[in-house]
Amino acid sequence: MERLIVNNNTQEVVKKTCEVLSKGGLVIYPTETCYGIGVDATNEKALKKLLKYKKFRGSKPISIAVSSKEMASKYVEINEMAQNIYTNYLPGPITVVSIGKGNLVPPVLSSQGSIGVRIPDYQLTLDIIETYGKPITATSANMSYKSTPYNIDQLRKDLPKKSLDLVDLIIDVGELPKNPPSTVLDTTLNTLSVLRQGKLEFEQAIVQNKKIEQRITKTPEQTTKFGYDFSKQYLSKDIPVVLALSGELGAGKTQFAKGVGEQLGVQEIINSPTYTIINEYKYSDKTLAHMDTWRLMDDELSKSGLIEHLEAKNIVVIEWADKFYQEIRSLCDNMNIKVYNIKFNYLSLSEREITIYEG
Amino acid sequence: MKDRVVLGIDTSCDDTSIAILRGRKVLSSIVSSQLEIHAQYGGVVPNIARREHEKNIQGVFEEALRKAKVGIGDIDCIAITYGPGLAIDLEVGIAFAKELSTKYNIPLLPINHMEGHLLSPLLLNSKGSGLVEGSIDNLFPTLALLMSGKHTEILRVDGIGKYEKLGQTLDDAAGEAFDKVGRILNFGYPGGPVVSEFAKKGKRGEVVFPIPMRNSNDLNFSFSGIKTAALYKSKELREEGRDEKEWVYDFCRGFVNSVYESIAIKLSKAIEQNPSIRGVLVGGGVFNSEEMLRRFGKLVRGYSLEYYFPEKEYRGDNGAMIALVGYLHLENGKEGLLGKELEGLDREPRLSL
Repeated sequence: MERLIVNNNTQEVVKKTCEVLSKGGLVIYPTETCYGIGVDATNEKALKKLLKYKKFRGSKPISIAVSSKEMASKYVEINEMAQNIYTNYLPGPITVVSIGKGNLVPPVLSSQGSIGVRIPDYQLTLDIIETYGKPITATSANMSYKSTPYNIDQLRKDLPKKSLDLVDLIIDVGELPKNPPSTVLDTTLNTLSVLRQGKLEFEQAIVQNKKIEQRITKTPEQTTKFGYDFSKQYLSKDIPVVLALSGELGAGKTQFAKGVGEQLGVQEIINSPTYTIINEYKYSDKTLAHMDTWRLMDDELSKSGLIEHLEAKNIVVIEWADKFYQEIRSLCDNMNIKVYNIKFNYLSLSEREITIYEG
Repeated sequence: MKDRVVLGIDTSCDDTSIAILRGRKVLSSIVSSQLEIHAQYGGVVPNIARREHEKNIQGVFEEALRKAKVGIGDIDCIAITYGPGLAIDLEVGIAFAKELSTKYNIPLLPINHMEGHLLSPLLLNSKGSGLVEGSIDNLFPTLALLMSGKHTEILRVDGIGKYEKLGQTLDDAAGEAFDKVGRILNFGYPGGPVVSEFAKKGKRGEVVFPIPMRNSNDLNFSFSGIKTAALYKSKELREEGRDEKEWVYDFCRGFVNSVYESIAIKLSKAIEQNPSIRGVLVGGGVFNSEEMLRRFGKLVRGYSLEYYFPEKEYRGDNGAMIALVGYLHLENGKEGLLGKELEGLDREPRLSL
């Protein structure tokens, strides 16, 4: 193993590092967050060596470092959300998760087909990657459970000998500032195209439906009141129905659900189900299920517990129902459950237009 | 007598977490996402498929035993979260805990997840150091402020097991509001931590948001109004055609201030309405924001009250806080369920303190 102390020898360091990387070697290198361990991310043999170094357990992925958005775009699909991050906030301590293009393998590629990409805000490292022309792995150089490596001597003390022996080159720039690890942002959930597609399907469906109620509400309380009035007129605790809600963030979906629950006799405060996914509320001898699909991915509706609630003949209110409209629709059709489609539109900061369709 | 050893299990949400405590000392605390290479990202979207509690739980359990250097025979009690949370998640943990209890004849204590967050500041590290090292008898009465992605509530605490909820969110939780504003700013998921980070670089007063619930008399919270305000403000700024980079930091600054202020107003009100309290306990993932932790600390100490907060690794969901509650209940004379008694134990997704 060689230890290169960096002073005015940048060119030499870049050259040497590229040589080591191209031979499948392991390099400890600096970033703005900590010392990382890098191998050529496109070299399977080198990746195996890295896993040995990390004493790898399980199958979780390792992110990559690139020098530019252009390099990233060779390996991942950059959607609108990712585009925003690359353009405005990189290089910087952010790892952007995107769908891979199929030219990288595990452990860089996750089991969901995604890849975490970083552009480190550290000129020397950017120079190395740019010169090398290919991404390198971007994982911190320490073992799991050991402290984040900010200086080489500490790191060498913490590393087991077996791991240290695998290292081919250490780029030592001295003590790094103690910045926290990079923040990971996943851009594969609720992409604009998925949301648009859902909205489109929902809107195509309601064209054929009968519009039964419409109201313009000017306060959250009025939205809740609409939910209450709707429930009073159309719902009965013994008849299972699904209320499929569609509308932007903050459009009043939870406010509407509050009114429904209140009218049915729920005593508790009904609040957002986004994080829990399904909130259950008892009233008389029944259960109201209040669901949000925001954090669910493609095939997860069936695993969420929704089917159990439908089987139990509960009234189910679903926020962001448009994301899974087809699935919800066919589940309900198969089980003979009536669906009301409820659309929330922003008219202004305080005004909402809420329309209810009989499914 | 040697302190009892408690195994704590939490599967109420995104992570499978299991910890082993001796008394209040954490011998091991394993969260499934830690069992990955550092700087992992596979678990970032903590959706159902990636939770995989069923796949994780045995491995996490074994790791917890290994790291604590104890055998299953050393465990005096199992503490298990039975609510609140998503039903299908809770069921996995409960089934696993029942199985362990039956197989090894270890009593099982059902625990409220929120009580875990509430008491999390009382955890000690393996060497026995922490914020409250001596007796906890003189701590109470206190208030507790709990904030996470799922919950935002304020309680009065008169002792272990003696809680009164004073206020809670009427719509979104504070952590959720952060993530949703992150979404409005097109940050990806979870955007909340980035909003906190970016706020550090922003100037105060450049982008101003209303302070939610400023004039309400109760101790409840609401964050959906500020979410709408953020949506409109971002549209406005984008329409002005200014480069996003120019305003986004000030935007985050304004948002964080508004959320902080609105909670601070309620916490102050609660403190003033409860003059007998000696301190304030805080817990939950929102306190991973050092700014939130610091500013609430300043507020609490300004009233000459003690401020109790958990170490960073115990702010998010974890099994250690569940084991801690189990231990403190045992000390209070509560007994775990055994054998036939286990049959009556079921998940309670809407459990509240």
